Amino acid sequence: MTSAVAVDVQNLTFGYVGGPDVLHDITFRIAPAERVALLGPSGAGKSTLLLHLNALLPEPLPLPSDDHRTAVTIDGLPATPEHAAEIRRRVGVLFQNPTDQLFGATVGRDVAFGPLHLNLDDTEIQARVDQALADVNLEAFAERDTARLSLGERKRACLAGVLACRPGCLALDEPFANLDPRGRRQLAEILTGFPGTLILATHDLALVRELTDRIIVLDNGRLCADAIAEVVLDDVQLLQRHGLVA
Amino acid sequence: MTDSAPFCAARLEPGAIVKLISSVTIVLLACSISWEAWPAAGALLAVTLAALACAGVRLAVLCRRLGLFLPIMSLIALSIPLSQGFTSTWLQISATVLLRGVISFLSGLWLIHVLPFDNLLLTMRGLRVPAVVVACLAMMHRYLFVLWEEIERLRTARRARRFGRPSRIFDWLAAVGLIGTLVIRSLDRGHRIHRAMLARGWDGHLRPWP
Amino acid sequence: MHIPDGLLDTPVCLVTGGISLVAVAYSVHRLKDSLADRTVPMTGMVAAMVFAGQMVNFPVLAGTSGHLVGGVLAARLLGPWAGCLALTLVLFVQKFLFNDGGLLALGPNVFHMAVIGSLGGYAIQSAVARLAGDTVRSRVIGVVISGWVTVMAAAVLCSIEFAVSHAANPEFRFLHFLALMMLFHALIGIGESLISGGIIRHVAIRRPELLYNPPTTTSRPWRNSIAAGFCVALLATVLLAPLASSSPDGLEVVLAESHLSTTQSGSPSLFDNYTAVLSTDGWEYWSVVISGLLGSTIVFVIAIVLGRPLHRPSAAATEGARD
Repeated sequence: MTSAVAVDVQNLTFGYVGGPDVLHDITFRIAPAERVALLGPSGAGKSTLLLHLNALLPEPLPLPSDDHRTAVTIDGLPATPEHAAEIRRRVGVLFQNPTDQLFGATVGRDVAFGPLHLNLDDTEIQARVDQALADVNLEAFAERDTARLSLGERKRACLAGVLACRPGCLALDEPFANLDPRGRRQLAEILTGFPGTLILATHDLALVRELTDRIIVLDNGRLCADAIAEVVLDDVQLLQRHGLVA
Repeated sequence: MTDSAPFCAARLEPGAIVKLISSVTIVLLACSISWEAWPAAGALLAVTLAALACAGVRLAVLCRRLGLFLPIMSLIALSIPLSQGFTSTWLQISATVLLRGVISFLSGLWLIHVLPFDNLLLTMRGLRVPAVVVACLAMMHRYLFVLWEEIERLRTARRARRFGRPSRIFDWLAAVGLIGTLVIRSLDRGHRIHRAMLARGWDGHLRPWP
Repeated sequence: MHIPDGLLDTPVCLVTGGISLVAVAYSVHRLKDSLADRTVPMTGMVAAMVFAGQMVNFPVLAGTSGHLVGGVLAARLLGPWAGCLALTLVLFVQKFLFNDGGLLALGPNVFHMAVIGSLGGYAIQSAVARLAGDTVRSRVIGVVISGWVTVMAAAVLCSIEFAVSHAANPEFRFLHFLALMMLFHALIGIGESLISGGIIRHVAIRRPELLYNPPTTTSRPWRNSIAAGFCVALLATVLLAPLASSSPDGLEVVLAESHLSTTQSGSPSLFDNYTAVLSTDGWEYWSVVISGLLGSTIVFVIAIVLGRPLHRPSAAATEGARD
């Protein structure tokens, strides 16, 4: 694994072309190996924020200029076209829809996509694929058709694909959505074992306490709270106000 | 064949080439044989049926597939004398067309049974077909059934909202809306896949994958 | 419009296959300029989408139904080069995964649907955009017109291919065959223009940025669109006229240059047959003209209907949820 990654977001404001701003002046810092939950109701901007952390937004990435500082910096690297590839190597994103992230014909081939694009040699690629599949308990799935997987298997296969790149930070977008209790347990165990920086975007409070130490609350594109997990989870009024509990 | 390496450099399997060449040869022969040489055509038909039996294609499957194909092929073959007149020349030509079509169909059926699509893609890569073509094919193959299921779900949802006996115009409008929705969803999906590829190091340069 | 094996002669299939191969190879070469690193996911996805779209039934008469072809649709969404490749992939997968369609017939099928359909379709759409102004509505009109014209062009080409396949047969009545093909495909073409135009209108209302090269200019006055539509319809009819006229110059030139005509000793040559048939004043002559005129008029009406002002639904109703 590349060493744990630091994330620095400064005054991030963003809107999709032709639409209103979906992120307003977001600022936070995440230290290496910190485990942070990004809580917020649907439509809060969590997915959009995660895409920024992987230098996938804005499209196209801003060119560096002296008078305008890039909003997102990963390990000191600003999110510009020059550093995009390196940022994407260090931050591994698990997208909401695993079907769209699992584009290989078989699980093994899909997991090999990342290492292949790191220009590693064949033996190293094979080793990484085997390791990643073992990490997610899908060792026997290398030859399985990606179209014939359960949701839990698909999510784990996607995770393997990301882990094969050995990122220093894992950013997951609603990983537990629609999973059955066993699937959630399996995924939680894998995430517990991840040594790097962890960013978990979710509106599911149950596993947040177990997996993270710090919570950032996002609502309507604005940062509403940023504190240690217990403080936020015990503040029922805050949670209610931002639609995180009924 | 167990493809234990998840990524393969182009590996040209002689078996796959032979199968492709055989299928093309049968079709070429069938389309070159005239009506007068019907024993040769009969022999070709027998060879193709034998190959199908060797490939393990069950009779029920064969009959079902043939049952779907024959009516359409017959109609097409019949359209010739229908448009040109029912003289013996045109009837013979019509019969030849039907026979050629059937032999080609059976040969194709054999090919898809003995050469799975994944192997075909690997063979194409080995034959130095442009990498972008193979990659697009693989991507299409991966999401074909996903989109097929999606359109089925859209159809079911639409049917659930239909009351009474709708007119043909309504059917057309509904079908157009169905495909329009699929278009938007598919393009968005394509963008999401592109992002997922970028996130894992995609730079537009094709490597031996998948 | 899917030709099976056996209908066309092998040399015809090989020649059209050769043309298709060159055209597709060129499209692959030009792909990298048009879509860059989006090529693989977008082309693959649109190809899968056209395939799935072709499964949708459009009921015609009791029992029979029509289907989307998709050439002009793919061209409008991906541009000419990726559109051409996408349709080629559709035909390839239909053959090698589902055994649907002929093997040698891939040559003419790719030629009709991918080359004429997508490349030709995009050319027509560009021409319409130039005439009617580069607006979203002219895109819709372009799809309607190109849908019909490409189907008719394919029908004419198929008739020529069939004629060449049966060139040695003295009983072959070309105009008769052409007349029937064009009558039949005038209807299919109307269906294709309705379906493709309707789909693009659906997309243009909700997500105009998804159309390849989305236009940024504001709408031009109506009369430009009407003039454009009328011109194209007239052009289509004018192009068809030489085939129906008593001097088959256009057809002769095409066949002579392609060296496809055969002359067997003793039997009348191909051209003698054509001249003899074309000079006859039969129903065939009129049906060719009428299918052209009537078809283009109907398509013109469709273009006006589908090209009417687009009203965007409210932002909340647009698809594509964004978090």
